[in-house]
Amino acid sequence: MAVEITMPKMGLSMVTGTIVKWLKNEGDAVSKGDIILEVMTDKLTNTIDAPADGVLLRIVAQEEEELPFGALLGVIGMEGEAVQGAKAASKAAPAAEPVISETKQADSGSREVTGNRVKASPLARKLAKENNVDFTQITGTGPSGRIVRDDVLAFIAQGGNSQQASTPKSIGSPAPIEEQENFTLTPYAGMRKAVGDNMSLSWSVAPKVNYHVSTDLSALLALRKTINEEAQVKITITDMLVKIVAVALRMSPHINIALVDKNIRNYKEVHVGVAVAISQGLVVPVVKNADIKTISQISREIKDLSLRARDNQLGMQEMRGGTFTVTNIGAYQSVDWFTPIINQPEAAILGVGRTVDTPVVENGEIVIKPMIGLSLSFDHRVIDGAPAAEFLGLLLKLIKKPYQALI
Amino acid sequence: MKKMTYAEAIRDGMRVEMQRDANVYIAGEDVGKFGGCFGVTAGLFDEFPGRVLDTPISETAIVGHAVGAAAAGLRPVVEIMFIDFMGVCMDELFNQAAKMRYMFGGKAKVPMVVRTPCGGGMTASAQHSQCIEAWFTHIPGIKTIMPSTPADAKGLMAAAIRDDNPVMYIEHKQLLAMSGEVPEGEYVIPLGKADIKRAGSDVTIVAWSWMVHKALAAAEQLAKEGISAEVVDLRTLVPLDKECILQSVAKTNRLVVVNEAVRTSGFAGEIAAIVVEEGFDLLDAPIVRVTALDIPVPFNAKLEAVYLPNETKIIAAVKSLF
Repeated sequence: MAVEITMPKMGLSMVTGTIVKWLKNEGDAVSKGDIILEVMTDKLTNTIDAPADGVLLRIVAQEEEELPFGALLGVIGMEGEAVQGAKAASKAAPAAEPVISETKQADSGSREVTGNRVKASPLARKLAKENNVDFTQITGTGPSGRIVRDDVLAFIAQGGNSQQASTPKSIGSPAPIEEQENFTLTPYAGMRKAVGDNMSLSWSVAPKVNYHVSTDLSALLALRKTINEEAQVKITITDMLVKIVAVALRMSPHINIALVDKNIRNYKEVHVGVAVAISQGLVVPVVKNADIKTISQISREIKDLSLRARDNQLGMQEMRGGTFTVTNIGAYQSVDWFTPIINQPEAAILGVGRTVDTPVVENGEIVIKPMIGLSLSFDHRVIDGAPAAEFLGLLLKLIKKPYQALI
Repeated sequence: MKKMTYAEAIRDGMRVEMQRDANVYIAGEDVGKFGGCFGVTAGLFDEFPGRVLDTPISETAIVGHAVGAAAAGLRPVVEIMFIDFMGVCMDELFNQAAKMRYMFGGKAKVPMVVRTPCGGGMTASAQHSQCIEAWFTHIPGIKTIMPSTPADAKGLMAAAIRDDNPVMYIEHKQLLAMSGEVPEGEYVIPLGKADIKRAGSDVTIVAWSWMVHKALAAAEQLAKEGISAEVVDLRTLVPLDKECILQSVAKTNRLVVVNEAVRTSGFAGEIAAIVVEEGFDLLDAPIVRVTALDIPVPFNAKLEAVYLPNETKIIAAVKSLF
């Protein structure tokens, strides 16, 4: 009995995946669980396991093809088993469905009849039919991933139809670099495009306000020094700021929110995303429940997440569910303040700049203090100026008395 | 227009019909001088001498005599003190009243109304709180009415009395004291016309009787959260205004049906089945029922609150569709 290998859904927002490479060839014997190919989604490269024992009868999806989740990638079956259907046999039409010899369906072989049912509402199916759209190519956003009316309308609005949907649209990185006389061309795809799309979305939907301030970091540095005298793993300024931000968010539920569709989500938990630069771009792994974790727990998690992010080993779930983001570029010693773009659908982001010894006035005297630059960007659709200023004030207070965030 | 309670509106509906048709009379346990267990017939005993009859404590006799009187040309409006007592007189209703016109080839007709209060939420326990409207909707030959407002109560009472077939006129105990504007004088709402009690665009909530008010409260809350719910009050279950339901679902593409009755074999399932059969392509989400639990109505107030549908359950059901 032949078993289809299909594009898995690796994370809630995944729409497409790009085949990086096949690790098995047609005709190779495979065991269930063997890694047989690599697929790159928006932000990560993942491996796909063989869903069954047998022989890799057919490779349908070719390397560098970008395909929607659920699309047929290949077929595993018994040696010598026939895989019928011109489409499956022809590598030229890679996303089409094969008609496996055992499944004698009169239908054209949509996934619905070959057992891997695509959930779509009756209305969505009707709309898809009326508009000559293959709904199996659409990503559902309804409950349980069901394709609903709006998904079909969005798909149509994007110019989608069955013809286009089954044609590889773009090729992800590692991309072929095209040599031209005076420049090279790299496709805007994969992670670069994912980051770009997110930034464009945020920029276009959020009326953003930026607050900038410098504050004395000496108390936090002193506390860090004390902790690190004892700590097995040295904690960083980022670790401490994540903790302080989390505690401040716990005290400011009106900041710990997101605007999703027509509703404002008031999160009950505090999950702080930490922006991590990696060679291909930018990822934001999330420290869950950072407000109730110890600094050393946060520190270990951030180290682990960053390391694995750089090795492309993060699971999609580890980058989901953030309620606020911290982005620290202080280490580059080049920027005091900046205007970070909010990681939608979150409502605010804290940018951390460099720390500079600066003369400041304290008790009527000019003294030298390590001053850190902070930039708070917030989405004015859901957070007004006064509460944002109040939140930033709370952060400053906690940075000046950081032990308050620990007790 | 005059402000009156749901109970007064039922009474006014009966009064107007008794004034215009001498064949209309009332019978039931303590409906006379006492004015009925819930006071619905209060005053009519003196207003219409000899036309408001106290009966023995026998539901069989009450409904049985009404079948005969209706077949003989009168228009009885009988009261069964609680719908829970309908089991006693079921044969008279479902084998006699419901069948007579059909079996006699239209030579006899049975223009009778059985008024009876249903519903829970009053810690009246398992034998005085039920919603068994589906018993009657399952019997061809009987019409079933469940008004939710004073005005509807009056207009539908007039239509029930004027109808030439047996009509179950089911009042809700929770609504009897509710007041509202009611047209004075003759006022008839045709049977089989649902009423959109609140217009909306994102989801249709079909309800009847007390649950209309739960649905309206849920819709109010949902509106604050950005979901626009349309509340369709069926008013009459048989005949059913399918067109109104389907038109609403055509607009919203989502349907929640709220029914105070227990879930299994309830009328909410009937609505869902009709919409799936006749409006399948309109649906953008599964149909969800919000009903009571499949248990006898608990006496304990807290348990009864768990048993009954409420705004919170309706809101959760609606949100599950998005």
